[in-house]
Amino acid sequence: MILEVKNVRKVFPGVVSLDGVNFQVKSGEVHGLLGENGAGKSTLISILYGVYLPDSGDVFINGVKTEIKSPRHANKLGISLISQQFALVPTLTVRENLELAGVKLGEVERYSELLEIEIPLDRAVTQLTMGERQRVEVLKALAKNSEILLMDEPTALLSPREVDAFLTLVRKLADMGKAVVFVTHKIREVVRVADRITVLRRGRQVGEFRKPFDERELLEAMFQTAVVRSRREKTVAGDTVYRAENLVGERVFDSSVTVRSGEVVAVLGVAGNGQDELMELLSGFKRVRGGKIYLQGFDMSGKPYVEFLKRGVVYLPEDRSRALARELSVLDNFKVRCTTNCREKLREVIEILDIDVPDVRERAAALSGGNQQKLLLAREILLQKPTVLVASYPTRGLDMETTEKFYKIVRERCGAVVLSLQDVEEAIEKVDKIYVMSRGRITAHFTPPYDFDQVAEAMAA
Amino acid sequence: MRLIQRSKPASVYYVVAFLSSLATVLAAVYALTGGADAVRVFTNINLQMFLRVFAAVCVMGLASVFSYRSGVWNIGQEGQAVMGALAAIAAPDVITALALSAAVATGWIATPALLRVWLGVNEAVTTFLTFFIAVYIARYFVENPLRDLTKKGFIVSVEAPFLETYAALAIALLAAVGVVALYRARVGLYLRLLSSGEEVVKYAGKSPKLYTALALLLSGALAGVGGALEIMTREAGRYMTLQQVNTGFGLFGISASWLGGLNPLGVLAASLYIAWLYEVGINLKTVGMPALVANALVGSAMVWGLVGYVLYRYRVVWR
Amino acid sequence: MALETIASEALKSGVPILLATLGAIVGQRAGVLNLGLEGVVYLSAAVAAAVGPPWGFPVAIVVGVVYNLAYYTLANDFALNQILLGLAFTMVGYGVGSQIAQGKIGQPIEKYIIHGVEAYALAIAIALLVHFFFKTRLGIAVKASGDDPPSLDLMGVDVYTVRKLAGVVEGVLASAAGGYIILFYYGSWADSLPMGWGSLAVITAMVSLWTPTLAVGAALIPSTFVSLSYTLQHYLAISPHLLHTIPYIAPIIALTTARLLAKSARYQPPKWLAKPYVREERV
Repeated sequence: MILEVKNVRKVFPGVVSLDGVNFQVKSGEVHGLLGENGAGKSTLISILYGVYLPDSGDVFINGVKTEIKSPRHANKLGISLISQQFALVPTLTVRENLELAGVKLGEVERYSELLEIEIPLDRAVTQLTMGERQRVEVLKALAKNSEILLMDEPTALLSPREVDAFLTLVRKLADMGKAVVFVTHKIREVVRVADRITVLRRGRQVGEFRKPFDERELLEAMFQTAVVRSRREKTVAGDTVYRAENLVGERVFDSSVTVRSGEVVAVLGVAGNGQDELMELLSGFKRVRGGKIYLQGFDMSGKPYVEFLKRGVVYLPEDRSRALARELSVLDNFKVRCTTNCREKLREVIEILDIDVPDVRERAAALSGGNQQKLLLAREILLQKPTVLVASYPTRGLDMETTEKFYKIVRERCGAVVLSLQDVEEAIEKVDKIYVMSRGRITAHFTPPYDFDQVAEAMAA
Repeated sequence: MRLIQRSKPASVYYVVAFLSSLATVLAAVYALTGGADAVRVFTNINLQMFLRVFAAVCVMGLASVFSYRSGVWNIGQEGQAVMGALAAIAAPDVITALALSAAVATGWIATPALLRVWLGVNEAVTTFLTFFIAVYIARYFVENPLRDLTKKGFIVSVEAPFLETYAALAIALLAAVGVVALYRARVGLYLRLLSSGEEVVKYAGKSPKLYTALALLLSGALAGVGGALEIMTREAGRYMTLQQVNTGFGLFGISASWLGGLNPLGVLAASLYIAWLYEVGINLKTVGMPALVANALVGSAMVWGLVGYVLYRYRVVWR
Repeated sequence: MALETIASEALKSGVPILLATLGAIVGQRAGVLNLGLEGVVYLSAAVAAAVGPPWGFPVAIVVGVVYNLAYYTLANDFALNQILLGLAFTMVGYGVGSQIAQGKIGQPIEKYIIHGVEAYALAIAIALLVHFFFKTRLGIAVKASGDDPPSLDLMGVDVYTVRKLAGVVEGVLASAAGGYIILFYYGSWADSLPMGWGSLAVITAMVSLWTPTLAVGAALIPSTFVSLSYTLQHYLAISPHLLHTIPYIAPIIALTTARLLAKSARYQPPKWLAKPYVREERV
């Protein structure tokens, strides 16, 4: 079986997500799809799975032009997907989810033995950790026994041992004659498992690479110009600006965080361990159930969010739509924090951050995701000088260049910074102190010089 | 078939929606009455009545804008209008009538608003149900406290004070300007933010509950004034009977708000069309159609308004 | 005596509310807040009146289902606002219904003789059927469609089809209610007779916390107060108009109480209630 797209193009408001991309996968091979955030990998997968219709370009199955009308249609054509966001209904049990997806439980068991993965069948998905959900998602897709498997970042939340077993299985599946598309931004994994690799960058196809792979060549293809990754410089930390003691929330227990003036601190952990809520608590966006928060010596415990705002605490939620009104104009969105001379100030920050805004009266939804993020940064960090910045996965979804810019601005503008991060490497490179979070508790903390393995191990524990 | 978001919203589809609605009305009336009557149904227009209906529809439309622009769902404008009209009947003069109608209607929507804000009770359902309650309450007032005892043998209420049509028009225009001005002010900014979700308002440092309640209360207040305007501008018969306490203007207003793209100026334009539809409805009655048929036509106009909103944002791909 | 009458009347008038409520539960569980149910009940009642027995009932169901399906197609495939589209469908239902049944005003329609207890027992059996429906694969898909349509879609189950199937079930139940109101309950037609029933069902579905077995009790709230308000007229010197408000006030109080008491996750509203699902708009 051969699945192929030719000259495919897909535009979303404010961004050309795919532009003239060709891609092909055959039975018996693993085709790696490599690129950084925003390169268009997920869009391509979504087109192959019938979620998006391409604006132009065609899909062929065994050389026959085919319109994949819906995910259901894709299933019928023998295509299944391991989704990055997990296609699982949280209110239903694992068993009900599998039943809905139309897979046989026997098949699920067979693959769970092969992969040495166990899943709880009778628990509601909402009670599972993110890691467990990913395992269910993987087994669900495999048990469909489709000819073509689309895998969108399938290893993101697996432990190192599970990743190993999974990659071995992927190889085995291809050897059994399945066609596999393996989407990732991790060069090491794709090199290990793929027969050929297509690299995407900002919606364009950079090239197709065959064995033997050269990791440096792939890296250059991903980033074009080698981005200079800055390293944390020795900072002179001042007095303690922010201190949270024994915070308690719904999924956060007994967590303490201290930040000194000039410091950038990261809370590191696998997704779904309570970091989102911890950030909400630290920023005052959500009221704590217990514990104390001191900001520049003032007791802020139990104060409403407005008080935190007044004292210069800035919160950046992971989901931008909680902070930006998509249906309102760029200018109106800016006015949420700006009271005077807003047009001029907006023009200024647009220039500084190089935001692509054709017209300030245009809806925010018309900007690309990256530009929305920049607009938010401009409003929250450039317009005011935050005393403390609390940010939930601020660099997720940003390309490398913008990520670099983010750290630079934050260091320049903010009195002190707490971020949640998932990438160990990024944390080690950029921050002055690392807290590790697991199951709602801070379980370890590290200061430079860091030991990668130590930190990674603390995360996995 | 699927919907794909446009990179730029296309206002032209509101015009398309309007024309489609017009075509629907023409076809339906022609089918119901046959050729000769149809022309009369469309063209027999009393300018005085047209203008006063326009004023009332306009205010009702603005009431709807307050609700829908904030993403909350008041669909009980009809009930609030009944309460407003009732207040007007009870008032001694025009000024009192206007103030009282706004106050009573605000009070009327306060229950759904507070239940929504405090307990998360769905406001669409409660505002809808409070319409039925309003009808019975009005009937009670017609029969008892506000009954006109001089009209022996008939159960009718006393008359509302008279308001000149031009004054009603002025009030409608003033209301439109007021809504535009409010939406430009900071309060208006927060009201509009609400449509993107409560969290966005909270993020801005304001209380989502407060603004949700405000949107509903403003919507109810204006609907009440709309109801008062409608009854006070009548040439004759500025009273309610047991059979006729409500007049369907709530639905007219909702339709005008969507055909007008939830934009105050758009509502002015759409109200002209809805006011004409009202005339068509009256003429239909004279050729023997049930009153509810006219409402059905306005209902179809509202559907076209909703279609306009979808096409404004999405393109339809038939594949 | 009075109490017995109230009970019997309440059961008789509870049947259509229970049927339409079960329909609304299926629809709302699928994520569709269909206020057009009022119009579906009205239109099917009008059809039943116009056709009369014996064919009135089945024809009413066919027409009601088609009408409800039209609503579901516009509200889901075309993503028109569910709430206001429902209002429009109610208005159009009133208009078309009053037109087709116009000839029956003031004429008696042959009525089937039924007993409150037996009729309600039958309706309870249907409630049990709906209860077990939610355990089938389609029933689970309906729940998923209201809680998380993007995931359901990615699993390879077409959300639009699932919702339309829910619309068919809802349509059958609601138009059965409409047919019953004329052919079993009133035995006559007037413009205002079938009004309000569908709306009460929409709110009763919420009062029942979207649970068919609880609906068996909740459906009796409005009907008890309806018959109570008629009976009280004979005994109390209160304006009948004020008494008529009770059947509408009671469900609001019941809904408020239900929201106060139901904290458990099982009883929360479907997360996507009244929100359209547009496949290309990923969150």
